[in-house]
Amino acid sequence: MMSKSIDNYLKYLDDNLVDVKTIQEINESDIHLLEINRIKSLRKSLKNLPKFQPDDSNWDLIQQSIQNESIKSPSWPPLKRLLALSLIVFVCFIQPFNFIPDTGIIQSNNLMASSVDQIGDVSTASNMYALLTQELIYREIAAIDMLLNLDSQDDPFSQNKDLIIQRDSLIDALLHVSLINDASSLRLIQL
Amino acid sequence: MREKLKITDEDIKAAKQMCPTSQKKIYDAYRVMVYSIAKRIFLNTGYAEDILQETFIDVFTKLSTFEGKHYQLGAWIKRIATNRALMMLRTPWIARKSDVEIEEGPYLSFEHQLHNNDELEFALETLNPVSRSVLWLHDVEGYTHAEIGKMMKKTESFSKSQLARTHKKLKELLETNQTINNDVKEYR
Repeated sequence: MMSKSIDNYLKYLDDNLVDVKTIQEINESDIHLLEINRIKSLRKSLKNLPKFQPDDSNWDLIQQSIQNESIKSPSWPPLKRLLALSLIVFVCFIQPFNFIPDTGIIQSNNLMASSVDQIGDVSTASNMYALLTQELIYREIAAIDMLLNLDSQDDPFSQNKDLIIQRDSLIDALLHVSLINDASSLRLIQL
Repeated sequence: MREKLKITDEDIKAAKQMCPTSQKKIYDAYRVMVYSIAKRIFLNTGYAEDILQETFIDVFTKLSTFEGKHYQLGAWIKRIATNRALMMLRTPWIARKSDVEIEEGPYLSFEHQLHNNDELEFALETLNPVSRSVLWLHDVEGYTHAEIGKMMKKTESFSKSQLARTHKKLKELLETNQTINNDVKEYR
């Protein structure tokens, strides 16, 4: 038996919505179907409710915020990448060449070698510092090798004695500062 | 009536490059959808405008990450708007307010409802924001219980039970309204 409230509700659905069975068609076994239809009708009604129009002033605020955001963030990462790249290029390629052409290289390398001697003697020198020094010396050697190669291409019999002496002293310095491990030993042998 | 704007892949591409005309076109095409979702959840113009603004700021600042086609843009924006609205719903101030509403019962007075013909609108307004959100997202926007549960940081069964309770409550409210309207008609 249908309760009065359901009766009223069905009447309401009949008056306002479509696709619902009339009260006459409903019996006890149709309760489940009735519930399904009720929810379907409710959904249909909800979807037909009016939409809301926002005020036009919202766009100005959005646009302003987007502009502020774009000033703050998007252009920065590429710029940072470019800066990092230039720094790497400078350190790896340009800096060694700046040392080589003048006679200052001898003095600076002697200075480095003497400081390396000191470091080698001082047992408290950190591994990190030794590694860094070692790396700088390798780069100096590589730069000298490059110059020697260039010289030999121009004149196969030329021997730049200064550079060869310089290279030998750097290798000596390396022997002082190299950390004793397989990798550094192998690298030294290759020189 | 406004003609529905069609967004093309070129519009999206231009908007990714921050072209203001394309951005405005996208905004015009989806602003009603976003604003309506927010307004249906909060019933409050201020909150709805906040959601609208935050959603489109998100849309245009994150558009470069959107890799879909033009016909998928609406769903993407709808998801951002829904997440924004639910995020706001979870803020302590709003959440507290919702609890009070649940405890104190109908949001609008009965008297107020009598003066309005659109019973469904007012029945919706008597629901608390969480129940209304679940109802709206499931029955109108077409999200599944699993999706709603995830977006609300709850379980799928939370969404199911909320929806069942909300359907029951709406039914009662609509019945009550119907009875009152009939009584008023008889009285007149």
